[in-house]
Amino acid sequence: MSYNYLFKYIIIGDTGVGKSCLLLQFTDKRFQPVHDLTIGVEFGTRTITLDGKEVKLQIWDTAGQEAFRSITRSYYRGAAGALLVYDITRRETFNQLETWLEDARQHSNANLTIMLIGNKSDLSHRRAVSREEGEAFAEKYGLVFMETSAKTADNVESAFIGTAQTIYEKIKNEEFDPDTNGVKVGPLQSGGSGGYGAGPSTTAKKGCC
Amino acid sequence: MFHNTMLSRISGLFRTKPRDRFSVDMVMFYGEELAATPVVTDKTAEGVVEILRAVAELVIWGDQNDGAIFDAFMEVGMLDALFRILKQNPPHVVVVQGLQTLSILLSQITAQTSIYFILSNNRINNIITHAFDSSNEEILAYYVTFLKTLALKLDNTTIQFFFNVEERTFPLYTEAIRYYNHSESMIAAAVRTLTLQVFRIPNAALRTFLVSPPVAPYFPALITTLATHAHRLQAAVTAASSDPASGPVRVRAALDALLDHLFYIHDIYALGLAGINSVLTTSLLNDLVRPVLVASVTRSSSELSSELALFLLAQLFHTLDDPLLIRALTSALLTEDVAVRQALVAALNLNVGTDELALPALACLYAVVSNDAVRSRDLAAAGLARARPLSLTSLASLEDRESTSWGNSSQFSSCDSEIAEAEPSDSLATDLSASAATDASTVEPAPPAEHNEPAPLPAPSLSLLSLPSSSPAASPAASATDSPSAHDATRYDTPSLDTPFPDALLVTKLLLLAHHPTRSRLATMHLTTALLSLLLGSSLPAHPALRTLFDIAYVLVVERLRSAFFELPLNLFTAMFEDEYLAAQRPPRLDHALADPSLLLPVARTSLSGLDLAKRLPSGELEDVTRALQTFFIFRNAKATLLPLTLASPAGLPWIDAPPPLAVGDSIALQSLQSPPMPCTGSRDADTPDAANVPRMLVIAPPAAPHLFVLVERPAPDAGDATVVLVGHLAGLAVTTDATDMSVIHGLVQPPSPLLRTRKWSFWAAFPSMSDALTAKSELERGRAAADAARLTAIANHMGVAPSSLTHAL
Repeated sequence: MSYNYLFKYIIIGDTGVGKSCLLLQFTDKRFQPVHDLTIGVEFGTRTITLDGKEVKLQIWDTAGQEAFRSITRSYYRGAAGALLVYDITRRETFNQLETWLEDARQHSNANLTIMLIGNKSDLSHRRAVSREEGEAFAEKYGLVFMETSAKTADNVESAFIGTAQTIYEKIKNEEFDPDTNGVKVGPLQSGGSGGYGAGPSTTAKKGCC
Repeated sequence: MFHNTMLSRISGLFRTKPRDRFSVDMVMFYGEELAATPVVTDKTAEGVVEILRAVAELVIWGDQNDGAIFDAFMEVGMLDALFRILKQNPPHVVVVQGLQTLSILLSQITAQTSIYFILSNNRINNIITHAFDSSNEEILAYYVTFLKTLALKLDNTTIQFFFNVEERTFPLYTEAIRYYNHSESMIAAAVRTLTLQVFRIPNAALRTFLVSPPVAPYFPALITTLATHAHRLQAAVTAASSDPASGPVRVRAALDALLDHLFYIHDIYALGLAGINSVLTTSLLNDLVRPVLVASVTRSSSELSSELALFLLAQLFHTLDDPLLIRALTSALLTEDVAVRQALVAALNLNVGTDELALPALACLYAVVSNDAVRSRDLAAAGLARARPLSLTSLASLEDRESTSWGNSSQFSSCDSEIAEAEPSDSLATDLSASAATDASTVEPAPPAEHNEPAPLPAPSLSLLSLPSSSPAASPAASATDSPSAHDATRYDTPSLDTPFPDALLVTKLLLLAHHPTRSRLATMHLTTALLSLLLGSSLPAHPALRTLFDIAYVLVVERLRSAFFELPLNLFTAMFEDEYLAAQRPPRLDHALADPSLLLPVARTSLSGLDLAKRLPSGELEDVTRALQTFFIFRNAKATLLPLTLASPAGLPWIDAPPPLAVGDSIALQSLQSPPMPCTGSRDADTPDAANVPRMLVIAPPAAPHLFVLVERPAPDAGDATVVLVGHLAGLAVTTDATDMSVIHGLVQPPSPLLRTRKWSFWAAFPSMSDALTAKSELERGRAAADAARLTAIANHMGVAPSSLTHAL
């Protein structure tokens, strides 16, 4: 499968916040949300189109890293995007966010784009963290914020694509070398179809290869 | 749907899809569909993918809702059909879906017996060992995720499905470790997770298996890979000198890759498995540390530069903490080969080593001394005794140190008293240090005889001062040429026992750094003081000679700062001083600094390098001042550790350290004021104009807060207290009279320090008469002058100089 760019994501947050369900919901639309079924995966890919470019998103659940510094470090370092997920019905998962961010800051490259996700928005009757608190936290740390529901697929799409958009903008603005930091330049891009400037919304800039 | 009809056509026309999506009937239906598709072709692929996907959903639903579903799943032979299909090397979409379905089942089925069913009969091993197309990025990712999912299910019970003790086979492990160093970092991370999960299982047979043929070579291979990373890093460093644009990025990437791998080795060690750790240690010592790192430090090998070798040794000591390993490493570094110590000493000598070499040498020593797994007695054997409580007194520890081999030269001149009596005045200090620095380059080597046989044990005080690089009084007449020549650069190249104690060496180093501020980076100074603090703690007073040298260095640093003071406008200097004062409250973490790739590159001289000032040389007047300030704070922090009792005032800079002593809403007693409060109206300009008619009073420098002014609510005539409604700093305050109404004044209030992140703000105040306004203005200006003076005094106190010495030139 060809692409211009491959963006590697990790999905992080406490256990039970619905990471693997979000991942499945985004990467595989054939799995329709069903109310009495909880199903998820630890890896998935999906290709989207941004600015006329084929961008393949590859998403890794970091399960199993908890006890090992080296694994945490590798995952963070190899990622261009991170979805930091908490469960709006469990305050303790929100309280842990700072620890996750601290980890991210310590291990990741400076270009990691982090999106904060308040998951399980379908369970608003059991809500323990208000939307405003999520927004305030995201603003404090400069993160993009969104509430999602893997159950109803609400906003799941926007969460992943919004992050991709941010990463893509950074590449376009040459804020980082696209062959490091969890981004891979694919055959379509390096094949010479015109570098960053090929999209309709930009004028010619220097190519990437 | 088309594919279903097509499948039905192939396999007979009798099956119809049941209505209920989650039912036993549906399982049976899918099972028959698969059975009817013996070979998956491009044509049938889509239909098979959909079945495999739907089966995952169905079985997980069954696990959560209806046990009969799983029974049907097994009964209809669905699992065998899945395995059969996967082993056909079907179209890539089918492989991916098959692996995903298996991963979903294994990670999410909660019924333990169901898991056992899936794992049993060696089926799972057949799939693990199946040769999937690992050149396909996507298939490999799904395959490795599948393996990791299995590994996360491993425990002492499930291990039997994967590990065959009799036949000594463990496909899950042996297949996975092929990718431990895959260029795709996520693949490598998943595989490393898997291996660590395997190592964690408390199974004796498994642990024997891991360190026996055929898989035992995995661990030496990890060390070989580490060596490969080291060589790649060297190549990147070498290439970077000719490619300043992308060179540093490559160096960083190469270092990051190396550290990832080193942390992985650390995580294996941390599991505490003696068998594995011993294999790792042997390999690390014999395949990397001795032949590559140590040999490069002593230049008996040129595989790596000495700088990089020292840097990597620092990383090893910084990252690893297994006691047996660390003991072996310490021995390889400090006691096996006298040439290593000589190389370290040479690296720290400003006249021989460059800053590029001194920094990794210091980092290495620091990493050794600060590693808790390094035994004190191993350090002591190498002359690197850690600081002990002062109560053990110096003599005991001095005796300790004498027997060490860092140096026992008796070459010494009794300059102690001379230096000690020296007034820390500007000129004298400069002279002394100049001669000290000059001597470092001009002093003659000790007579050959002393090199060949150990000198008789000198008196403690003598041996302590056996500094080949600084003996000021040895040549009191030596002129301060202030440009150390390199004519004796070869001195340390020949093996010699004439090496000083590290404490003394470090103090000398500090003196030289203080004296040659443009030749080394602040990071070097920071590490030197950090290492010295580790070695000496607060015992510096027990070493009069060292202490004197330190005092001279300190005076030099203060003097340099004092002269920097006059190069800038007062306001700018005080603001910069306060900035650096605040920054010094939270010094950079050395462990981060130690692993900084910029330290591997030639010393940068401009801010274009994008580096922190600490990691390069200053350029321009302003950076010279910043550097002088940072140097001062590094020394002051060091002094607080080494000579805690000698710092005059711990008071610091009161307006920065403490929140303002008065805040809006507080009340102050009007009777206690020295000058009467002045009735007025007024408010912040930003406030609503309602305040225009509210009666208030201006109070300048109330006793509780001499550097503030406040507006208070005008109290009832008999009330003694008034409530504060506005607070401002007097320092830096600018007051003007209103252009049209002379009874109104305007004030612009500066934040006390830019680092406090408060903004400038302004206020107005209207007085009953023009003369009242003029009085208020001049009182405020007097208050401002007093506050500015107090601020300067605090800075002078902090520097340990007389306030007048900062103002006489103004």
